[in-house]
Amino acid sequence: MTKKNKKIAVVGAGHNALVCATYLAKAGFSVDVFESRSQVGGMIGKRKLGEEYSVPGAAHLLSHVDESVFKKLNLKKHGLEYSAQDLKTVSLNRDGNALIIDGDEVDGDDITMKEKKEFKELNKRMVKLAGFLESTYGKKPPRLGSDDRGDMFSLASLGLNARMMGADSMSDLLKFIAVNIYDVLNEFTDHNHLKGTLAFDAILGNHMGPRTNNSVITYLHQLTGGANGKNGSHSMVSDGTGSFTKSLEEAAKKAGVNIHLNASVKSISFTDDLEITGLTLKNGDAFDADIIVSGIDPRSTFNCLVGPKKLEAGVVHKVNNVRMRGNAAKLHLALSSKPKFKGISEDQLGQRIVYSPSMEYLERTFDFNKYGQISDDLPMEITIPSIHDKTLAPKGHHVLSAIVNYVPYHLKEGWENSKSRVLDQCINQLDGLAPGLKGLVVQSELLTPADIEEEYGITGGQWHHGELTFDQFLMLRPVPKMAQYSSPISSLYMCGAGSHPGGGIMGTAGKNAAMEIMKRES
Amino acid sequence: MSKYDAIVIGAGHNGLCNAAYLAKSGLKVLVLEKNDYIGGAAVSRELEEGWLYSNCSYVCSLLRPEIYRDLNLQKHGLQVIAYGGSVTFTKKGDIFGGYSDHDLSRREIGRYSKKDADAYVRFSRDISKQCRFIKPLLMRTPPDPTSFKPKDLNELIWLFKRLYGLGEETIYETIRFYTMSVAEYLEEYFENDVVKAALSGSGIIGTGLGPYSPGTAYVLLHHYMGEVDGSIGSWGFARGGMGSVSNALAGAFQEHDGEIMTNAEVKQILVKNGRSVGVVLENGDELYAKNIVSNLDVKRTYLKLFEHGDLDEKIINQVENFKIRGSSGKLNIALDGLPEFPAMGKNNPLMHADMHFIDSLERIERAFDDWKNGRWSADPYCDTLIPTLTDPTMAPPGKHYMSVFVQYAPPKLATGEWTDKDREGFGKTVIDQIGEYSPNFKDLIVHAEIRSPQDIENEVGLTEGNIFQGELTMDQMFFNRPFPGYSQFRGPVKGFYMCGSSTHPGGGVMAAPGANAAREILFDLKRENIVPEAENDD
Repeated sequence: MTKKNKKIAVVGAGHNALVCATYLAKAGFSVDVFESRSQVGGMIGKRKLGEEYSVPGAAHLLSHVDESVFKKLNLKKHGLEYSAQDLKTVSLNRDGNALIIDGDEVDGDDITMKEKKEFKELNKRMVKLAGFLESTYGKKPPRLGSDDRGDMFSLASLGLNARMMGADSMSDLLKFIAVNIYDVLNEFTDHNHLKGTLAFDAILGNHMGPRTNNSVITYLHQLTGGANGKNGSHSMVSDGTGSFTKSLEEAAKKAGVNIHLNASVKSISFTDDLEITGLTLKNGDAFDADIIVSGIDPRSTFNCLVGPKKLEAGVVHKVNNVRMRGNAAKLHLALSSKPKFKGISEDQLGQRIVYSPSMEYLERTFDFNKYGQISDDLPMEITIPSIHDKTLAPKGHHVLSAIVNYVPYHLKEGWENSKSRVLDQCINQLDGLAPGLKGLVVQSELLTPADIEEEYGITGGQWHHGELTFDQFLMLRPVPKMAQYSSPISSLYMCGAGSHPGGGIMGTAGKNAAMEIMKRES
Repeated sequence: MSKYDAIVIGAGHNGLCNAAYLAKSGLKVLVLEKNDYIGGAAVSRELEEGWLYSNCSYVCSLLRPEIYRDLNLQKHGLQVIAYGGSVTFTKKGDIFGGYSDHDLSRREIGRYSKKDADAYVRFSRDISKQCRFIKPLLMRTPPDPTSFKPKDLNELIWLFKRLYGLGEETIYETIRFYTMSVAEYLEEYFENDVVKAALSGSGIIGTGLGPYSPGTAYVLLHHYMGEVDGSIGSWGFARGGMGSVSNALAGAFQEHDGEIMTNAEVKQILVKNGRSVGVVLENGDELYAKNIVSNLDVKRTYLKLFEHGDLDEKIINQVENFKIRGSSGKLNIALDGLPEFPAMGKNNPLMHADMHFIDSLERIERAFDDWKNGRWSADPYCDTLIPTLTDPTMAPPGKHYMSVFVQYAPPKLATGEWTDKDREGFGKTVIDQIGEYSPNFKDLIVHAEIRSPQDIENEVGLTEGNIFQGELTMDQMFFNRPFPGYSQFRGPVKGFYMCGSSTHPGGGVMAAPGANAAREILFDLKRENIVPEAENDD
């Protein structure tokens, strides 16, 4: 069979799935994408808040993007539009002393010349390590212990890359890679607010505190890629990230991908010899396919689509042990006018606003989360996208979108009666940072990790389809022996964030998966 | 003109082991000790008349059998008695026993969960694999991964081949094992909380990490390696207390004409033209030798003994950032009789075991949270032993000695330095916890020595009272121990070496760092290597 005749079905239309589908279609495969929701994009995309307001769904900022993917798919031509780029990070504390970070420059909150220099030095060293990490991102991870030449070569080049960094950076890598951000930042500077702000990047969306080992990897991960080649920079996409999903959809369609919306996949169909024959939708429709690519998380893929009975016990065990503890919620507010945050000028309102006054604060807050409780003072990443994009709210009105961290999926007291309390708590907390904000709230909603699981179909509401820790990284992601986008079932592939290199709006996992499929199925 | 070929600073067990090998090779060696007794943290002391306390370290953890045999420690009076298993008391009034007999352990686990009993078979098999992999590394010098020297490249290739020899599946498991938290690792096998809590304890002893902190899983090895070693001597009581280990090593050293000087605290290491040439004692005496070896931890060595200008700024920076975190306290208790533990019944052989009074991972994690916040744990993890049941020589007839190792206690409290009142409060917390499970325990107490991490530092010299001379985390292990570029026991000035637990393979009464350092010193002096390598048993 030539690839022209091979039919590929992609499950899910998140950004990685669409990237993968488009690459494959461009290579000549016949590709169909099945999406359970009524729009593509998964966690990225516009969402209605009440009648008159729109907000970015789950993800609200683009960071560490893989520009090569964007270019290859020609997303700009297909409608991708940034409403703001190279955002600064404005970090708040209770006293209204804001700290502003722009690339490797930092200002505000009584920061001294010495501390500014310390940050520059830190940034320089971390960016170098992030560069090493990134050098592993664009290709499939090698298998260890195999005799395959490609794997050997890939592993050797990994080692070589590490060596080529020079002895100092290689030592940095060996020393920092498995430790926690708390210790590392303490080595560099004494400025608590600065450290709190940086550590926030390491723990956002992850089940870890700054003192949890592995939080350096997550910090470095955040520093990879970046729009316009600027490390760790953030951008906002117009139309509440809608122009991004629209451009992906356009690119896919242009390449010949058939997208089926409102088409929830129930299971993959097999012959008795476990050969894939196609998939069945929840509405009963069946679809023939030779190859299935799953864009959903690994646990859902194997537990729901394949079914544990078709798999070896060891595989089921490993897949079920993939840690997926979501602990970030999403807060959406519609406001009747611009809020005024303490210590922030009006023209800074459009930046990325962070509330994370110190690492000790973060760690204490995480302690609540660890035991299934919620602190009464939660760290947040706040954006007001309507400042850059007037279409999101009626004239003069605004929408606020915040990721609220350390909101556990498993709340000890249960979510049923707690959701409105937590929503009120978040609004009150914001009111403390921006006095009077509470009175401006017209509409509000809180998506807990449980809601995110429900709405987007991600186990545990874990944004990255699996926590990004050392034991779930590179050749161990999502589980050993499946890090090459393949699975124990031939012709079943994975292309989501659960695979290397993990979460974030990169599209790299989708691209890598497509490359692997082309290689193996052509 | 120097009288000695080498001076070893500190008569801890590693210092003595190092000195013994150097002396055995024919060198003239002097060991200097600040206290009026030798042993460092491996000591037996009589603080209450009639009772011998192992008042710091309390069991031989992985004492290398190669060294035991090679230095003939038995002849020098060291007798190690294996002790039996462990026991965890549950809140519900039950006990959970851990036995050295695999089948017995499995049956006991089955009492709590049938599924876990099955998992235990897999678990033991997987851990044993890791033990076999790691064991030979303990007595080897780590390669420098940034170096292009043939010696390092060869060692790297050896290591790589060994890793590859494990096979794909096990390689992945190995990487995961070294980077996961002990709690999450156990959760992959077990469902019952008591089982998990009981097994997790060895992952957090002596470290400033909680059971949910990644990087704690591999510490499980410490517990299991003894089993794999098979030979007596790796885990057990030293007859006559831990001082017997130091005395035997000192005996081996003196047999080869080694000299020990006590009450001789070193004030400074003398450096001339980039080479260490001798030491200055507190009393002003100067002693010279071509080679200086420090058994002290890196912070004490580099920040206190070297003149600041003698070292590179970069080294100072690395030393300052080396993580030594005091996290444990100790109670040594003289008892008028044997305490009763009703949950266990009388004459239960588990009385000889490690006793723990904490039965869930959450309780242990919360104990860690207290430490993080600068308090001793309100509900601590106590590793409690009654050595006199195994070795009655440590107390008067019919009386007993209890050793309680307490996790966690911070070196400095949130309220400031430790005061007498704090120490009392800390002791009471521990005694109350034990008292909950033993009604007559409190009445039997004749004397209790309560030691905060600060006390341990003051007496033994371990910075922050950290029993491992530095956290055993990935960034401070193997070729990163104590820090990159210095993992081969050589210091930043010529003729200077490190031989304490700050170096590979780290803490525990193993004597491996001392022996490893001796190998490198003999190499530099172009003498024949007499330090044994690990025996291969696979």
